[in-house]
Amino acid sequence: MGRKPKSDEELVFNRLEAIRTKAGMTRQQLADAVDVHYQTIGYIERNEYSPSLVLALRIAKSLNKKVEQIFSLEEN
Amino acid sequence: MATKKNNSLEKRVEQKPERFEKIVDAKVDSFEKTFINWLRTSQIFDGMVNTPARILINSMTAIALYGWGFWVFLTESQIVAWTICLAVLAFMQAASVRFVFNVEGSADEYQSKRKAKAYRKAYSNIRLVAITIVLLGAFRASATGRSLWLHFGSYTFFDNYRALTGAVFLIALITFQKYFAYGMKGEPFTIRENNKIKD
Repeated sequence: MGRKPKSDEELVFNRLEAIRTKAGMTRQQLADAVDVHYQTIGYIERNEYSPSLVLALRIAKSLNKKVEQIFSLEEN
Repeated sequence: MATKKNNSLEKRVEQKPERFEKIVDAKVDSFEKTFINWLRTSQIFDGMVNTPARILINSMTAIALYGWGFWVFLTESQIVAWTICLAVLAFMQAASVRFVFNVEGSADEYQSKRKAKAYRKAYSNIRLVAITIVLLGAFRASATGRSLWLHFGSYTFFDNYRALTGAVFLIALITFQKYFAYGMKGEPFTIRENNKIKD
């Protein structure tokens, strides 16, 4: 698991890296699909940034998963 | 029959500018989207967006703004070279954060959040710098036994050259604070390398 978010940010854990890799997508491809910079995908995967609800939904849709399959409040 | 023809002609004449406007709007939108996408992904500025480059650009900016600025103020020389240097550094700073402060829509939600945080931090930083300058001025005034404010007529501490230097400094200070506040953290070394990363 990557670096922990700063204390003033809400903790949201994710399995994005594993799911994206399984889907055979690069960060850039996923970034293009959800209209963000590829770096942002990296920040999310390393738990350095918690995405907005809209972005989380877009990511889930691009990976054909439900939001809760990717993001969770508890570390799995 | 003739009236019908006239009406349809009028309609066509009226519709033409509307159609032209729509085409122009669509072209402008498409150009903006292409331009913004280019800014987001262009590899031209890759040398300036990584962390070491941001540290270097920020250090150079701080030295030019405060160090060289103070020298220009004291010696009353090199203001043109200093201003050109600041302008070049302003472009380098903008490129190193992928123009998120300059082009509306070029930032995604992470960058927008970071940008908003940088603006807030920059605001308090400017206050801190202003207070420091005033305190240093007051200290200098008390050390030399001169009043800080009341000698504009006879005392040439703020002549035209220095007033101009002060104005350039103020503009540069406000311009650069948001870049300082954006932080040193940049992107990985090359976008190409990152594109290949699958895990």
